[in-house]
Amino acid sequence: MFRYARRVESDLARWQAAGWVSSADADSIRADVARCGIGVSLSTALGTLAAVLIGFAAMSFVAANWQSMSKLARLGVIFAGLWGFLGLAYTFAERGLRRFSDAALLGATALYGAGIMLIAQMYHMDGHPPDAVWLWAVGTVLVGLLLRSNTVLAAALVLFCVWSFMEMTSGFNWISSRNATRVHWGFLPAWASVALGVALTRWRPGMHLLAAALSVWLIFSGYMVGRGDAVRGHLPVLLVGLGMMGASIGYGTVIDRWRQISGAMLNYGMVVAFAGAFALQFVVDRPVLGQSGAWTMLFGLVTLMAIAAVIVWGWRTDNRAAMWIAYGCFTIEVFSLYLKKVGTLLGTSGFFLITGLLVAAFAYAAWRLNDSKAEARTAS
Amino acid sequence: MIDVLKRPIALYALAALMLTGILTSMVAARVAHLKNGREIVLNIRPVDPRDLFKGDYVRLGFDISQASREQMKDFDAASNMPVHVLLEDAGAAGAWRIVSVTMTEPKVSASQIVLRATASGSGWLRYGIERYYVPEGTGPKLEDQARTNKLSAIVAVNARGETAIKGLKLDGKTIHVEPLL
Repeated sequence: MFRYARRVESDLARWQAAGWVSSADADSIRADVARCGIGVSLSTALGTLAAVLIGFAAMSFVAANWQSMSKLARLGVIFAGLWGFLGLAYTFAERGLRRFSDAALLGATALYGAGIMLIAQMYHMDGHPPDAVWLWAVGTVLVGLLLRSNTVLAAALVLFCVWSFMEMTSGFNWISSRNATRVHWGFLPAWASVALGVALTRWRPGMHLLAAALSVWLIFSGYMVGRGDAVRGHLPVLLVGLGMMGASIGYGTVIDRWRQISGAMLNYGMVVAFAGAFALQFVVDRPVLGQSGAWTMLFGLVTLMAIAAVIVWGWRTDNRAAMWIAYGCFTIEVFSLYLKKVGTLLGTSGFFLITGLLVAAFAYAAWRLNDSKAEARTAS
Repeated sequence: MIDVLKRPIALYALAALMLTGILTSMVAARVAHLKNGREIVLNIRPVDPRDLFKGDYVRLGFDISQASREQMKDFDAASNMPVHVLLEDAGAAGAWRIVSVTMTEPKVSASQIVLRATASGSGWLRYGIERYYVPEGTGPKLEDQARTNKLSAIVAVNARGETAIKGLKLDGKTIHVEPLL
C-alpha cells in the first residue's frame, strides 16, 4: 500500500504540473488514498498475524500433551476457543470490520485444526497423515463457503495443496516415494470447491492463487509421472501450457469479454509450458529427443525463439508480467543450455551466437514496428 | 466485489456446530472403538522422536511389524497397500505371530484375529498404532524402561480389524490405561 500511495503521489505531481489535475482534485485523491489505504492494510496484516500466532499457541498447547487436564477439559478449551472466535467474527462483521472478522474466522479454523491434532494425539492415532490435513482443509473450505471469507478460502487452498503434496509424496516419506508414479487427482475436486467460493465472492487475487496452485500441481504431477516416462509426464504439461497460451493469444478478446483474464492466462500458460519444456530438456534421465547435440540445439533454439516471441507479444499487449516472466524463463534456459553444453564448447558458442543474432533480428523488427507506429500517431 | 460482510448469525452458529460436530464424531468413533473392540496385548520396542504438531511420542515397533519374505511373496516390492494380517495367539502374553498377509479377508478361528495394516514390499507392516504420545520430556524415561523391561501395548481391535491403543504394560503389569474421555 505504501508503494501505491507513493506512486499516486508522484503521478499527481506530474499531472498537476501538466495542468491535467487541479490542486483541489489532487487533494481529494490524496484524501481518498489515505482513507482506504494504509490503515486497513496494516490492521488486516496485524489481525491475520494475531490469528496465526493464536493458532500456533493452540498447536503448542496440543503438543505439550498436558496431562493435568482431562481429555474432555482439553477438548473443551479447543471447542470454547473455536466458538469464541466465531462469535468474535460475527461481532466484527456486524460492526463493519470485515478484515478483523476474517482474521477471527482464520483463528477459528486454526483451532479446528488444533482440535484434529489434539484428538489424534489423545487417542494415539497414527493412520495416514494426509487424512488429518484433508479433514482440516474440508472444515476450512466449508467455513469459507458458508461465511464467504476470502482469507479462509485462501487458507483452505493452502491446506489442500499441503494435503496433495503429502499424498503425492507418501506423507513426506521420500524413500518410499522414489517409485511413485501416480497423479493425485483428488486435488482437482478440492481445488474446485475453493474455486466455487472464490467465484461467489469474485475475489480477483483468489483467482491468481487458484491459477498458481493449479499450475504448480500440474508441473509437480508431470514430475511424478515423468519419473518413469518423460513423454507421459512432461509432454502433457508442455502441451497444456501451450494450449493456454494459444487460447489467450487467439481468443483473447472473446475471453476478456467474459472476464478480463486473457493476460493472466498467457502468463500462467507460459510458466507451465516452460516448466514442461525445461523438464524435457534438462531434468529427465532419458530426454524425449535423445541426448544428441543437434536435438538439444533445436529444442533450445525453438524454446528461446518462443520466449522472445512472448516478450514481443507482451510488449504489444502491454502485459508487463508476461515480459518479466519471459525474461526469467529466457535467463534460466540460457544458463541451463550453457551448463548442459550443446555438443562441444565450440558448438555451444556457435549456438549462442546464432540465437543472439536471431534475437537481435527480433529486437530490430520490434524497433521498426514501434517506430512506424509512432510515425503513424504523429501523422494522424 | 459483492458485499460479503454481513451474514446471519445462524450461519456462524452452523459453522461452529459443523466444526465441533466433525471433531466430536472423531472422538465418539474412537471411544466406541476402545470400549467395544476385542482386546489383545502386543510386545513392543520403542524409540523417541517428536511430531511437529502433536508433540513427543514413542514410536512403537511390534513383534508383528515384520512379515517374512514368504508371507510377502505376492506383493509388489514398491507397494504401500492395505492388507489383512491374520494373527494367531502363540500362548504366552503378547506373543501373537503372523499366519498370513492377504489382500482379501481370511477365515478366522477362535485363537486367531485379523488386523488391517499397510504393507511395504519389504514386509514392514503398519497398523496405525505405531505412535504413543507422551507428556513433554517423558519419552526417554519410557524408552529406558522398555530397554530393561518387557513393554507391551494393550490394543483394542474393532470388527473391521482396525486397531487403537488402550494402554501399556510393563513386565505384564498395566502401567497406564488411557481414559476414554
